Amino acid sequence: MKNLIHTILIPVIAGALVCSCGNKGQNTEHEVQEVDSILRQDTIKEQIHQFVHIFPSQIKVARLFKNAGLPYQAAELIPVEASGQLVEKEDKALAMGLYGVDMVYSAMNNQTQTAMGCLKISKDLAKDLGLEGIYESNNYIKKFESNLNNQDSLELIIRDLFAETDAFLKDNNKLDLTLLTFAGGWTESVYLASTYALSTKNKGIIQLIGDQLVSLDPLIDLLKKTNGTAINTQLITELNDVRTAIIAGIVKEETEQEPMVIQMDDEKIKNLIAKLDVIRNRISKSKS
Amino acid sequence: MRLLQTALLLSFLAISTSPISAQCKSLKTLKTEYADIIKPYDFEGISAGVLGAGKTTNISVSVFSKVKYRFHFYSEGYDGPVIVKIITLNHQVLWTNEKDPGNMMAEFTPKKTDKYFVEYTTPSSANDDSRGCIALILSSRPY
Repeated sequence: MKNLIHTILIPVIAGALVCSCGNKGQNTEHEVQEVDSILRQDTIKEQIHQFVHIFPSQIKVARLFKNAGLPYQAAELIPVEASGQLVEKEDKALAMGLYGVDMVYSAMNNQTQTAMGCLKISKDLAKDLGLEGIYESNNYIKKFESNLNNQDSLELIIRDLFAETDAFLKDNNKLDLTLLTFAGGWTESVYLASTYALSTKNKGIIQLIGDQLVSLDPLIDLLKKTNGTAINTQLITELNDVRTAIIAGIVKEETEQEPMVIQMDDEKIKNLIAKLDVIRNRISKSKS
Repeated sequence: MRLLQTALLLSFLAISTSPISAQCKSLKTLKTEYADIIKPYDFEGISAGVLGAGKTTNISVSVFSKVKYRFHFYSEGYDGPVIVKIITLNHQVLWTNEKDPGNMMAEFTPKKTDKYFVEYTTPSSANDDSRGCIALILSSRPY
């Protein structure tokens, strides 16, 4: 029994005393209330971080665009070498989203070596952000290499990688990284679609670009609620500019039953691409 | 003696209430547990958190038209059933388990791309501090 007290209870009690840091003069009830109050505050904080918005999977968004006719556009992807120049954590998180989408598009279009390159960049960025465990515990690089000739398997691997990353970030209260990564992926998806829409005026693609507002609005709202760094504040402004550029194409507002109708001429698409470029240039311009 | 009593009480509180993960499974665990349940749908996203008894909260989701979705609702640690509603931006209730609280799965193919709110209302408890865990596991069908 003595051993039990020494090995379990005393450290627990000592730990509790250290944690509570209470004033010795206060009575027991007051001390308990104080600690409970702190714990409740932590819980509330936790709730705010956890009960957020479920954003669409980038792989699904990519599939929707591909089904609408979006082809592979190698020249439009973010240059591989750009990732090496990034310094800020926020830029690395944004880049992880951008390269993630490039990886998806490449894999979906059987450009497996490019996809593999993007995966390796993503892994390096994840390492810099303290997320390397996701890649290592699941052997994604090895799995990817073993399935280079199987497009369906590659998509499953990427889907799982995205889901694991999302769960890890949320489990570890890294809402800021979740949002920045999603912002990067969102920007790249809409950029690739917009450059194609400029040359083809594909109505399905343009409508899908408008549909992406459904995740842009909560993204901007949540970025505003996080403790913003200067980079985040700038990004919010840039995303709002993108939002304005898309909204300019709405010719019929949505109703309860009917979707909105969006039409974009050359000028509007070029303006949208210019706004998206501002965000992409944070990453792609770093190569020069 | 008084100090020891206080310390024991504090240590109990610290153990029983501070590690939120002790009340709520990690998202990684939930994702693993639902991996087979969601089949043949694909994992789309997940959110979870601790919520007090007799409280209401919501998780919002972005959904696209012409995509089939399954919403799996998870709850743990409450004295009774958790009532779930799926609501549109215009407050139209699309689905609820009010009449069948055991039903913890909804299926949808949205007519238009939209933002839905999944509202959870937890049952009241005699213990004001009672808390449990709620989660939403969203899956969609291969396209």
